[in-house]
Amino acid sequence: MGRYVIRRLIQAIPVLIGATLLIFCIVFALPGDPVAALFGDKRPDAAVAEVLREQYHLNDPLLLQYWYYISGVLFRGDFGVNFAQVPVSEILAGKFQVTLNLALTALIMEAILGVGLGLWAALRRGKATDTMILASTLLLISIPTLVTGFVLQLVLGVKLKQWTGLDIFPVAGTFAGLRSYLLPGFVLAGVSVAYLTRLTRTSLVETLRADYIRTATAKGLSRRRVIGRHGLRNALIPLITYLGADLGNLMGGAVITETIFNLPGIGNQLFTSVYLREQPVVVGTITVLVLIYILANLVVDLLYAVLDPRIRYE
Amino acid sequence: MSNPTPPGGPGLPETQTLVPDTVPAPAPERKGTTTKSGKPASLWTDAWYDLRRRPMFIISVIIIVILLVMSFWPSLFSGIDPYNARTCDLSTARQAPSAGHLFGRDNLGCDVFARTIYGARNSIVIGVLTTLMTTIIGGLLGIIAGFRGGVVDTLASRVTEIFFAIPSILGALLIAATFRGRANSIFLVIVALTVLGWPMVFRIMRAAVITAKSQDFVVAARALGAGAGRIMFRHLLPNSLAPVIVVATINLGTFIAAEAALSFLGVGVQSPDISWGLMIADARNRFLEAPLPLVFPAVFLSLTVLAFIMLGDAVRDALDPKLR
Amino acid sequence: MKKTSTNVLPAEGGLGDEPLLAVDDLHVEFHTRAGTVRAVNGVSYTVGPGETLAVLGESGSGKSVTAQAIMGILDMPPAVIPKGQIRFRGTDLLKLSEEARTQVRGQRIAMIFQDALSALNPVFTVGWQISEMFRVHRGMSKSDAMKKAVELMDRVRIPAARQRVNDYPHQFSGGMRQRIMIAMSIALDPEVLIADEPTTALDVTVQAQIMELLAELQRESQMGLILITHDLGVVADVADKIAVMYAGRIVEQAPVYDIYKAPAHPYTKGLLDSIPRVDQKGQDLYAIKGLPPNLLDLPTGCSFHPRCPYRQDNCVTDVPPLYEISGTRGSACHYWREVLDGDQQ
Repeated sequence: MGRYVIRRLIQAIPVLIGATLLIFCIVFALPGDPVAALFGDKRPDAAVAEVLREQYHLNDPLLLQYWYYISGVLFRGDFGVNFAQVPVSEILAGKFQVTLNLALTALIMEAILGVGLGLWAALRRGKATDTMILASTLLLISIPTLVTGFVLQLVLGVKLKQWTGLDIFPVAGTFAGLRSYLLPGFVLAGVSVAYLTRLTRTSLVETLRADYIRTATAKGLSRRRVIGRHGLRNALIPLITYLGADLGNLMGGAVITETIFNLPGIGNQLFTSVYLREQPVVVGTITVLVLIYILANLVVDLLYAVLDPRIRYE
Repeated sequence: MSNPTPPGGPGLPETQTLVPDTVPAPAPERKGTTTKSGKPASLWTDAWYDLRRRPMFIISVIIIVILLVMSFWPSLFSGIDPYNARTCDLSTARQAPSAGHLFGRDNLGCDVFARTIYGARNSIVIGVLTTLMTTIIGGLLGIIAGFRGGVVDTLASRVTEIFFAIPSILGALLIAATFRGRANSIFLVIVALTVLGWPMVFRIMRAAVITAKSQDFVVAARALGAGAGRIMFRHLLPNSLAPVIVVATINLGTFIAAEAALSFLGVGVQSPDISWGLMIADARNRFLEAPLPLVFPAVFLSLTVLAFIMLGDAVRDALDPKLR
Repeated sequence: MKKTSTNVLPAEGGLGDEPLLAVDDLHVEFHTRAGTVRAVNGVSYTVGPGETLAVLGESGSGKSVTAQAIMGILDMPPAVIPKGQIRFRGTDLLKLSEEARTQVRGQRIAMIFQDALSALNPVFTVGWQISEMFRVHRGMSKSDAMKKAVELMDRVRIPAARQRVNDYPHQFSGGMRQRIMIAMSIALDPEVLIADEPTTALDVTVQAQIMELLAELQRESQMGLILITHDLGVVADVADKIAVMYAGRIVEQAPVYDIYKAPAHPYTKGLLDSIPRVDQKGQDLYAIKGLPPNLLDLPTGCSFHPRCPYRQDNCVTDVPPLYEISGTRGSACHYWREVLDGDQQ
């Protein structure tokens, strides 16, 4: 296990460097004046431009520039400042909680619905239930978060209240506490639920074909134990990897979901910064999210090793 | 059925039907697939035979054909040209649907139906071009990395890992936001989505090529001294294409959804160009009181994405009958 | 055939006239989209306590399907058993309820599979998998069951069992894994053990060790052993009697010695002739002509007729019954006399 952990940690380093370098290159190293880019299509005055040039070490060689950027990110948690000189880390600090709540709500819904529906479909393979579940995953995958967000906000948030008088799903903001996250969480989970359902189904169907399942039956175990203990334990392993990769989709989706439901999280902040053309904040926020994504996937890989002894003892 | 259909197609000659001991015989379904000359049908003719019978395939193709016609000749569907500002009338903003304006009017008093129809073009153009670019770049690099192996492969794989470390919609957002206003917005969206999209095709192509490389006919071709180019494009490419086509089709749908998301966030297609994502963004502020200007482009967007993902699903099922 | 299921478990103790396990005119079909695959077409055999029956045949002969039918681990559907009985101590297992069959499975009739690596669950320790038998079927505590698992691993001679009980299957060698499989199958002292190609995936030296172990365990516990194999070499030393299967039928049934001395069916004869022998060095190895039959569309008459050197006209039309040659011997060949006498054509 130890060796695997160390190897995996070492592997993460070039990815981390590469990803930040890529972001850096997109923003600073491509043709065109980066200062102009920071302002988007606004035109900075000469003095401000010069200050920015200093600040971003734009007069230094490219690699040195990158070193300033990455060392700031890694060692000082410095993700840049906005036009009012407020550090990006400070801007984002208060928004993490909201995004975390949203992401956790979505992940829990995803896990319950996705795994549940996937199992159900797998155990009824080829029957009407299976076909229905597969058809609904197709629909769920095809309807963009953008659309489900607005439609559910209208139907479950507004109309439901008009028709029944019950205020179950708040339409916007976080004033109703955790209840505020139900609807946005579901919207955010939507596409992922569908993928997870399909993945769970495939994984369990494949697993139930395995020889060790036949062995378990031959041992005289009940069908419940064969599927629940021997099948599920194996079928769940690939799903873990999916959850790691899916975090990236959730981040993208969070930008849209938080915007639609006016949740003051990181995604909403990113939208606002893009709207206000505060490029430094956009760059800083995306850098933060990418770092989180890389770390989360590292954790997922380690979790994988915990679940699968074949990897643990490699 | 756990036995994958052998590459020669399922039309096995009678004498060779071996039944594995523990598993029931892999049913050689689709009995009519042997061609007239009696030769076993190839993977492609077989898949085509199978596809034509799938309602999912037929429905998606019909939707896609309508969308294509719509994006090439939008005037066939709508008498109003939404690019002409004079067709808008602020005093009629958010008017309900009527005979002349099937979908009503939006916040600026423009005809929603005409804008929705004309919005198809940008979605399709961006979807198709991004798919082409990612497939060409990712496919070429994938075939080279898979065929060459060694350092080339390691290097290329490490580079894709780096791209995979950036969630694609965030990366595209960063690129589009950085270059916003400095290039044609549609071109920018295509570039942004391509930069983040090619590694997926690369991975699939590489894996397929590595599998195909070890097959006998490729080994034989190498032994006979065929050149690298010939092996790659005559032997490896045709045999690795199936999974790439499936992914490309599904990607087309997701690229269209991504374009809408970027446009909604303000870094995609820019006004006065028309895009469904942009229409959704414009209608957003008054959405709860006047939902229709948002709902119609949303429905078209969903149907379009659905059509391509359905097509991809159908093609995958036809090419890979294993999981049926 | 309408089945009425019962919950009456097979009796224990004395056997009387009934054999321990009797398969009687068993038919198994697989209903696939391409048609009906007739995998087993009227197989009958018996095994007594302490007796070893070797079932011999190539892939697709139905030998494994028969075994899986006995265990009740066929996937139904697509498998269907339209006809036949599997009597265990006089009780027809096919008439038992699923619940009652689960009581028989693993506890009284156990099975060993060919590839122990894939047959053992990769994510549980071997100790956990062996002790599961005691926990589930005997209600033992975890620690007691684990002690029993170590004892069993000792019994199948896995070195340092106590240290290795918490290892995972992939940490063992092929032979050791098969020993674990065997330990698991004999955990609850079954009366019948079915070994489906138990040594096929192993090295030749290890094969012999495993066969020896099986024979020894059988002597100790007097269980009936059904040994399924395609390898004539494995059978000779351990089996008491042999049933040769072809295209879902038993074509020859006899005590081991008789078959090796003089086969009474052309297929058995072909199998024996195709074993390389030192005294025939330099000669061409004999091979049975043609291909195994297509189970979707079996040849008419005797299924072996397209490949048979003894074929006469009636072989194409008449299905040969299992002719009784002696009290313990039968051959499903119209011309068994000619085969037995060895005068070919």
